[in-house]
Amino acid sequence: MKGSPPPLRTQMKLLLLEDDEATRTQAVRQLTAAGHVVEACGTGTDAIFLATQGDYGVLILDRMVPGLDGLSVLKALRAAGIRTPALLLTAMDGIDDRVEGLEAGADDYLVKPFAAAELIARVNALSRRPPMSDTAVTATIGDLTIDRVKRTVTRAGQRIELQAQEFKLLDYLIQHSGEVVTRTMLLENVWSFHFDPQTNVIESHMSRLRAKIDRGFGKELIQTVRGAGYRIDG
Amino acid sequence: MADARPASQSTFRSGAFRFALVFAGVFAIAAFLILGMVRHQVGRYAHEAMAGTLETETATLVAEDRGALAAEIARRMTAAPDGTFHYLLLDATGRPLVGTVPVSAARVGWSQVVMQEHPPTPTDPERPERLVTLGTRLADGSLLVVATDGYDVDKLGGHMIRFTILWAIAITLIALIGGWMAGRIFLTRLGAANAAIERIVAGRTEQRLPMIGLAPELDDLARNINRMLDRIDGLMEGLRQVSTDVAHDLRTPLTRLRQMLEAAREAPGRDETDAGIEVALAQADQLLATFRAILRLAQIEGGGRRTPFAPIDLGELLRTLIETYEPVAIDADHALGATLIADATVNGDAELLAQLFANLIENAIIHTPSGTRVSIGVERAPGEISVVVSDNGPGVPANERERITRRFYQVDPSRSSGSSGLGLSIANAIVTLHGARLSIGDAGPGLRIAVSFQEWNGGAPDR
Repeated sequence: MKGSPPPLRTQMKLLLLEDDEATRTQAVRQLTAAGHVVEACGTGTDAIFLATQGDYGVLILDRMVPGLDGLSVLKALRAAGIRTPALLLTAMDGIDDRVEGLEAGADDYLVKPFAAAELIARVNALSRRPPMSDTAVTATIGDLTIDRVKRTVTRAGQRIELQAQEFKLLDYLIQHSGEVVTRTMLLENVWSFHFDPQTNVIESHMSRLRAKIDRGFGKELIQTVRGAGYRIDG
Repeated sequence: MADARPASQSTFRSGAFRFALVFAGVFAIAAFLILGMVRHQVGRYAHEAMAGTLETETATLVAEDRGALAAEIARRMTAAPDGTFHYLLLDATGRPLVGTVPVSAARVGWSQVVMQEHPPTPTDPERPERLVTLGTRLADGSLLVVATDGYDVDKLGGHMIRFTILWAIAITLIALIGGWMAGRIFLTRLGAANAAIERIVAGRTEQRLPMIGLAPELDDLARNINRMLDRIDGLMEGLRQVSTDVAHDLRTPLTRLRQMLEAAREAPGRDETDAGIEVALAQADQLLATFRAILRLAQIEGGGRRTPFAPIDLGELLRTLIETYEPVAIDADHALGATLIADATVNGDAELLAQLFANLIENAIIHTPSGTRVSIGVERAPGEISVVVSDNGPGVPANERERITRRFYQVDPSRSSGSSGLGLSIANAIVTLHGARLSIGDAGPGLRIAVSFQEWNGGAPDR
């Protein structure tokens, strides 16, 4: 599996609001390369017009654009009943800024500057909201099954004991199976850390999880995606 | 600022003068009311006294035998020609028998009449006299009129009015002067405070307001303004610090990044170029992490947050953090142990408290050699909850302990191992934000960092 390109996901139509032309062009290029169709605009009014006309998978809104800003656009769209998943891009990462963004109806929040892999991973994660597997009691990936109520994991019929945080980590990977999840996504969603730890928190837990669910079985389910994060594949 | 001064220098537009005017006005009204009341009461008393004497005199005469009445009246008139009373006696047909009161006053009951007493002389100029008369019908039909001079009562009334006006004016003047002086004292004190503010505006931001005095409320005002100034000073200091940090700590890695990119451009082969770019990207990420840490530190120190504090169970929070850091510690060949207690609740921000303890735990893991044991404990003293993170590593010399919460401080620069040097600064800022106390001590051997919070007592969740 290593070295092969990630499986191309179903093509998605994205709306991008970004006033800086260089950033916009670059983002469009990166998202297009990831297999999506992107419609980009530079003002809030255009964004509202496009979002109400077209059928988009994910809205990517820069928070600070002159005139009608991303936050106002999002509030207006949510007030108009448009529930398309939205990712806010922002240069402000204060605690209150994030809370304010989420309260305005954003589904995720990405602080600038960011790596292309981070943007793509988060867009992909949003496009599946709310996935069926999130709510199901059991989920299966390859020959591995987790039971979210009993908190048990079995692989090839063999029971595997996991620590609470290892289970949470595996569950999050499975919810986004086939997609890349980045380190920051894991920190925010598994550990609720909104700061940069100075130690290898993720690597330490990931190596233990891998040792338990992948070692001794034929196929490695968890892949390291270089320069991006991790992915679980069946 | 410039237009605030001339107004306070004009005496008549000054607050002291206005204060005095209001003061005097209120006093004048009060004085007029009191004096007017006195005058009215005294006048009424004098009038009643006069009426009383008339009634007594009438009663004495009525008691006389009717036949001897005229003679008695005549006797009284001759005994005291300038006496208090004037008389008139008319028979049943209305013919005057004796007396000096004009016949026009011949009426039963109370009445008034003006009488010319004497013909005018050079020493005693003509003076019309106002007489108050009391007429009484006798048993045989004749009419007895007794009159007295109302002059004294009138004179008393006049005196009283003059007295009232004079004293009201005097009291008003006294009030005006008193009010002006009181206002003057008050405004001089305020002037000192204003002068201090002028100096602060002019840039001497270390200046503080003097106590105003006169009233505890005014001192509270001065104290609160001083506290506000301290706060603003702190924020300004934070801003200056961020600028310094950005200049100092981002310039060096930025220079390094630039050199790496130049080297990558000049690299001979494609692989070398790619490798160079990889290193440069890692360097850029490191830079961004430092930048984020600086901004976060500034944000926490600024304290400008809207998320309210809530009761947090420290035992619960630390248990999760220990689960998180146990594998990290083992991978770094450290041991992590904990002694937690139940119901250790403090008022705080869960996200920031998690970062605080994560920073302390990471600090202990990063800055100690392999084989070190890191212990996390929660201790309870009356009304106080302390979280203690200690290790049995080499520790920090006593004279350097105070410095380890400073920005970018490294005890041993060779052991920095990729940390931003801001971890303990951020921890310290979070501690301050929570009104808690950070103490750095000796674990003998090793470093002991304790954070002492006020225990949450079930009151209002927000500070």
